Amino acid sequence: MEPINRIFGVIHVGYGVAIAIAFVLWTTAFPDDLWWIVNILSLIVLLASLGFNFARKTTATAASGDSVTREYLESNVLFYGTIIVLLLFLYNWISILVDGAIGFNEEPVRDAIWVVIDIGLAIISTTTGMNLLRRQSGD
Amino acid sequence: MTILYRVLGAFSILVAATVGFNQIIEHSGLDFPWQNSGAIIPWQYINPPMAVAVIIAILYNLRRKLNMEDTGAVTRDYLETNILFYTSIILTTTFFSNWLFTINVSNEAPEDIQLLYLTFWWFIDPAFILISGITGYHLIRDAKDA
Repeated sequence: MEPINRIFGVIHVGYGVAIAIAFVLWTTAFPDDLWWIVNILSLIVLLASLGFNFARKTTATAASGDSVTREYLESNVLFYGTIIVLLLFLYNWISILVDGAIGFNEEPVRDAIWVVIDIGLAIISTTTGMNLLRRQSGD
Repeated sequence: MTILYRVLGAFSILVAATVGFNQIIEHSGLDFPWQNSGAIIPWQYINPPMAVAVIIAILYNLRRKLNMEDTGAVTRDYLETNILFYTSIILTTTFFSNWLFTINVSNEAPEDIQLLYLTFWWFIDPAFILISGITGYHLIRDAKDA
C-alpha cells in the first residue's frame, strides 16, 4: 500500500494546490476550455478522496471507542466534507452536461456553488493528500 | 523577532479595525464628498493592505499549525489553531479571487454577476476582520511571551 499512498498523496496535494491557484487566477489567465478537463480530474480526485477518507474514518471510529480523538474528529470532518463537496460538484457538473455549457459569468447561483466547490475541493484534496503522505512516512 | 511580531500584529489589527469601521460607515447612509459609495476610505486603497494582512494571517497560522504539539488529544489550542488555519485558507482564496474579479472583469460582467461578487465581499470583510484581528492579537501575545 505504501507506493500507492505516496502516488495518490502527491497527486492529491498537487491537484489541491492547482485548483486553489486556478480559482484565484481564473479571471486573469485561465482558458475556459480547460475547465472541462478540470471537471473530469476533479471527479476522479473526489471519488479517490471519498474512498481514502471512508477507510480512514472507519479505522478511526473503531479505534477511538467512545472518546473524541484528533484522528476521529479529522477523519469524520474530512469524510462528510468530501460527501458534501462531491454532491455539490455532481449537481453543478451534471446540470452543465444536461443544459449545455454555460459560461462562468452567466448564472449567479451556479457561480456561487462553484466557488464553494473549488475552495472545498482544494482543501479536501490537499488535506487528504497530506494525510496519505504522512501515513506513508509512518507518522 | 519580538519587534517584528509586534509590528505585524499591530498592522493586522489596524487593517482589521479600518475595514470594520469603513464597512459600518459605508452602510450608514452618510455621504462623503470624495466618495460616491459612502465609504470614508475608497476600497481600492484598502484592498492592498488587506492583501498583506491576509498573507500575514495565512503564514502565521500555517506556522502555528506546523509547530503544534501532536498529543492526539482534542485540546483548545488544537481546535483554535485548526479553525484559524482553515478559515485563513478560505479567506485567502476568496479574497484574492474576488479582488482580481473586481480589478479585471467586474465592469464587463452582467449586473447580477456583479451583485453576486458584491455579496461575496459582505462575507469576506467580516471574516477578514475576525481572522486578521485574532491573528494580530496572537502575534502581539507571542511577542510578549518571547
